[in-house]
Amino acid sequence: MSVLTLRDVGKKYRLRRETGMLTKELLLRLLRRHKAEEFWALKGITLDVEAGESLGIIGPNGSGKSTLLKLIAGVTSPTEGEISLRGRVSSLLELGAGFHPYLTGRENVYLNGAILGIRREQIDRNFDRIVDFSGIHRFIDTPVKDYSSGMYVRLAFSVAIHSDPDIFLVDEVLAVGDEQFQRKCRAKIRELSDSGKTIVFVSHDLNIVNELCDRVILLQGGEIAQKGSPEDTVDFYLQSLGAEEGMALLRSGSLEVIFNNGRIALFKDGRMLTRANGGYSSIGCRGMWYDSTSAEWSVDSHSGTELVATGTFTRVSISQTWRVTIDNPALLRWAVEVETKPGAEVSERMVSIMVSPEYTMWFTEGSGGEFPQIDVNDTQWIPVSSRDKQLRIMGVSTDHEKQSALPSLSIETLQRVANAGLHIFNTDYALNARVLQMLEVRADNEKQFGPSRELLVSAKITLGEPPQVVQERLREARRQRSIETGNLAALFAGGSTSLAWQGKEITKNLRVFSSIQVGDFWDDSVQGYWQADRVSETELQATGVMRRLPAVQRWILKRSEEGTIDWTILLEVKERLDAQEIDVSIMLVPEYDLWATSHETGAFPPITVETKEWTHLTKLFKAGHFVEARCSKANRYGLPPVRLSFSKPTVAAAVNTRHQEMARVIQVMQPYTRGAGIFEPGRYELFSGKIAVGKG
Amino acid sequence: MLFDDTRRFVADMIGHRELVRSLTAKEFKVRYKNAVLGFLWTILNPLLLMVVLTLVFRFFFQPRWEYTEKYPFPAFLLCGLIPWTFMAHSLSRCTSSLVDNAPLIQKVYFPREIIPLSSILANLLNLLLSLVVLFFFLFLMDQMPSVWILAVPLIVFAELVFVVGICLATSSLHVFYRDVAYIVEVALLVWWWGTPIFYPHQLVQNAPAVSPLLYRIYMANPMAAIVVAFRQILLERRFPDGDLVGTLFVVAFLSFFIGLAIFRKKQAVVADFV
Repeated sequence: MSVLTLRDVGKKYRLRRETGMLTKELLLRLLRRHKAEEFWALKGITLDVEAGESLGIIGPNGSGKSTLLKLIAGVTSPTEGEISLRGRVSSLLELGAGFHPYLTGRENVYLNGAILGIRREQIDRNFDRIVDFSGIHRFIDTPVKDYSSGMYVRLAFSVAIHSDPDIFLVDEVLAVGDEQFQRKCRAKIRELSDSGKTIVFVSHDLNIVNELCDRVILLQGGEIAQKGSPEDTVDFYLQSLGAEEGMALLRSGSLEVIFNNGRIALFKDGRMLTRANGGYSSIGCRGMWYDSTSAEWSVDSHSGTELVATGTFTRVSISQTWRVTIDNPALLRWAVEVETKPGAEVSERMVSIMVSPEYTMWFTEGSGGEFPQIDVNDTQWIPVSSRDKQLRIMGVSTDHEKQSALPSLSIETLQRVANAGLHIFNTDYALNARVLQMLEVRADNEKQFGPSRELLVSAKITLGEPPQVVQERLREARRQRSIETGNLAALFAGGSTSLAWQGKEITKNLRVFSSIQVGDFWDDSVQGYWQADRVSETELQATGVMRRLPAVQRWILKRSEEGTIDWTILLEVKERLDAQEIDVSIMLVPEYDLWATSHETGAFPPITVETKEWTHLTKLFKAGHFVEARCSKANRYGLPPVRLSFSKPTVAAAVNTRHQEMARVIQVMQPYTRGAGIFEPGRYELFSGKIAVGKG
Repeated sequence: MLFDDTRRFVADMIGHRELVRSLTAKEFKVRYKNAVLGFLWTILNPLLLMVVLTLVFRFFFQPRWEYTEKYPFPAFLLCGLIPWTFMAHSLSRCTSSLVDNAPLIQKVYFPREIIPLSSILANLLNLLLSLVVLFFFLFLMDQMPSVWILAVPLIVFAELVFVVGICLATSSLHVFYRDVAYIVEVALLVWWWGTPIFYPHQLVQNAPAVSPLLYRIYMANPMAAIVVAFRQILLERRFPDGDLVGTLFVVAFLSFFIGLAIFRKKQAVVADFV
């Protein structure tokens, strides 16, 4: 049953839209008759909307979208044709249009309700729900003139969304309030749509249209240029776009990249790989995030396969330049350069790509796995992989068994940006997407900086690699950061090195790491900002800027005799440092049950829920040469013994972790009595020793 | 067609009575929300005018008008000021009301007449409160009204119909011609002098230069008829003259029909122009 029918509807406007003066008009009438120019904002629109359907209306500015919505809302009447409507229409056209600043929130809820045609009893009934949704409990009896614009809009949206109409008209209002409220709105609209409400949706955000609508019509020049499934129509629209300001289409074979005002959408073989914002950037400045989608964009140059676009924020003096290039149908490059003017205090910067939830697998060069399902109750983004500053590659792929699988998508950062790490996320339910993100966090003293022009990202995006290639590339990337000797493989990953024996990891959690205690806090190597370089086939050097101390650690990992790796840690101190203790540790899987030092041996007791602190098992604080963990004869896991030995005699310990970590730790401890741990600026050798696995 | 429009208008207003009520309440509340004396202002306005005019006439002009000497001058003045204030305030507020509410009109559909109407109704509420004050005043001055006070609602109704008519016309015309509001302000000034508010209508009737025809035209001014009717009911304590009331109703409904016709003709495209 169709609830809304339009037959040959047309709307004509006089071009000379400014209103006249009666006195002037009368005088002019006496002198001559003039005729205003006319134009058709809409022409020949025929449309049926079925009950329960969500219809999207897209099109460039001035294509008649808003006029159409106004006609449906009955705000204005068509010049020709017929519109028939069954049921009550409610518009989320402009929120709070009927709000009066001097009335309280409560009074405005009733007033706005009356304007939207809601019966008083119905508002009474829904009042609590309206207030709950808006989250403005405390201020409901305050005049809305004292509200922040966010609160205002939240309350208005809340009234509108609870007006329970038969047909809902939504016009770009999803860009209201803060990020969290936007999510709530999208979720609510989705819920309404799922519960069988008829929704007519106008948006510039093609991805939201794509997501929320069953059917989409494309308006161009006041006429319906295309209608059909969201994917087809959006695709058609994007392809038909010229280099309109802020928009451009790049194409090479089966790959299409659409740049649309600070976001890029990727299509392969006509299928949309990205979701929501697609590829976009965000800049954190004084506690606010500025998304590239909110900047003013212009496409500076555009050929079929390359574009350069500049976006400028209106509220902060930050601009960015994007260069997107398609090399071939399986490879594109994306570089973002950010220019800041003095006064812009940038604390964080990131680029993200939101991709289809059809991607079920994620990978980085270090690891990989399956995405958890995105659940209806997910209101937050959930990290799938931890932020890793060492990674350069991350990607997604589908289960390759399926025929209709989307091509895999991987991003490789080409240029290292200090302090930047890669993350993979699941979004909330409303957005329903996977996110590949590179986030750069600046330390406090680096936030403020003068005019500068800095690269945020330069990345290569590869599409549709065959699985074995993906695997091979991952192996290769891994190899760059690993040292193998016999059955032992050590893989360096941002201040923590994992050890694997015959391909199976025996370390866990923080793995092989160092920590320095200064005052009350520990600074672990894993927290630093690391960069690793392969020096030769047998040697790996990594430099890490400590997170909290004015110092840099340099690790040298070298292949020694079979199953053994030489490990040296150099500490470069920049400012005087007074350390209480320096530890070098290896966290091992809990299957290890015996330990030994130069002076004593013992068993690791089981770690239970009761174990709430790290427990030192060694009793003698006597300098020795090694500490070791091994499995007893009876231990069915039969893991290889791990021995940490050191050239200078030092105190060593075997430790049980808390239940949360559930790990065995062997460590070298360097406690300093008062004043003994002072490091003046200079270079020091913190540790020099060997990690031997599978010996004896 | 005439009655079709009217039926539609009445049906719309009844169908949207909740909105009419809400917007009227809003108009009323908002107007005095930030004022210290609150809605007392609604009554103070004609009272202050009354005080000023009484002082001016007592001490400066000291006119010897037979009619005004029979009744207390302040009461005489209030009978004119109160219906006048209702009309004048309604007209000046309503004329720009559609344009003032442009955001609403462009976004949500409801019968557009509700906007000027709710503004008028808020003023009507003022009128009713002022009338209560007037009755109290008469009581103080020992001018106990007679049973003919029951005719007051009839005259108020006629005035309402008349005011709705002109307000519908000016508010819709103002959307298209933005000088209508200025024209209205000037017209109100002339109108004030052309209405027997601070002088008795007999002054015009008995003026040697005024022919009987001219006097008829003068009294066709509904505001003149209303003011005179008010005085006849409240001061002279009788039912107002039949032909006076008759003419008043004819002109009031004529105004209503014409105003509604103009509004109806324009309202479909109002949203495109506000």
